[in-house]
Amino acid sequence: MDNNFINDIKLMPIKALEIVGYDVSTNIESLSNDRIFVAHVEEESSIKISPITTEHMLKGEITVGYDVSTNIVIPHNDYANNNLLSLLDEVIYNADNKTYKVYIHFGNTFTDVNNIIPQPNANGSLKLYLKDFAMFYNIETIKSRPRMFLSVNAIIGKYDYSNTSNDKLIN
Amino acid sequence: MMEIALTYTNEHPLPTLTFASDIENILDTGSPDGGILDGGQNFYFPLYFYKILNKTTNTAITKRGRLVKHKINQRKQYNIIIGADTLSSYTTQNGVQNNFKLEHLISFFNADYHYLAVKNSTWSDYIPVVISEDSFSPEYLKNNLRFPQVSITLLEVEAYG
Repeated sequence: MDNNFINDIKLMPIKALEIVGYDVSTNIESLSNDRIFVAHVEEESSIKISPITTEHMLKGEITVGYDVSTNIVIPHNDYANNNLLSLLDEVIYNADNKTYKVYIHFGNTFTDVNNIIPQPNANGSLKLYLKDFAMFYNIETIKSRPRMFLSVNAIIGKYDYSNTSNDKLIN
Repeated sequence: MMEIALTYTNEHPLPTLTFASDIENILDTGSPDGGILDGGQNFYFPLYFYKILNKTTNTAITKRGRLVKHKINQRKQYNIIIGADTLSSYTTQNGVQNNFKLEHLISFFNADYHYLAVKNSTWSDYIPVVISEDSFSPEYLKNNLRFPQVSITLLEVEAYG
């Protein structure tokens, strides 16, 4: 580690959440009518990736996969006019009929959505990709301001994303 | 780490018990029926590998009331757990679980002849074994299909002592 390591530390706040419907057989993402993009998320949004381990007779614990739990705080409370609640309900309850994947954007990632909000304090970028997720939301009023707490939890295997170059966990 | 090889053949037993890492190729050319001997081999790093000695005895009481217990033979038993770290599958793009190691274990379970080889520093010869369990029932860590874990109990065919 050299003296300039401080410059190598990337600042990558969680910036946006993207939920995309896709065709399971072709892995082709569907068009904009099946895409939810939340460009404003609050600073308290968090993500935790913890290992799933199993005991070994000699080595102690071996990692077999990861438990990813994200908590996205959405400040904008004009949910009804934005149709967000019904869109999220469609993702949550119709997951058997359609398949969705979730991208969580950190820092300066780029998407194909035009109205991207620039992130002034970021000098790094990362895009986390989750599939087979569980999703639910709470709406809580803190002081005078209602906010949505959207949880996206997923369990990923150690080899889940290694088979194709398109299916990387992190871009 | 300890490594084991699980090898199986169908219809005919292995012609020789000398370990070969490429036994699948040898089976194809040197099988006793002159054709292709159906078999396979795969390598695993087990989570657990216990060796247990089972003793068969005969107990009797003599006319003077003395209790005697004679050893007839003993047999080694191997308790093996192959964990999700080895068997973790990945999901292909069309959602199909692709897991050739689990498929191999199922073939091993259904085969006619089973063999075990153990590597500590070098590979042992093949040990003919039978499978104790009557059903192949993987457990799933966190109830998730990605993380199968298989317990298997093997008994040596040959008794000794």
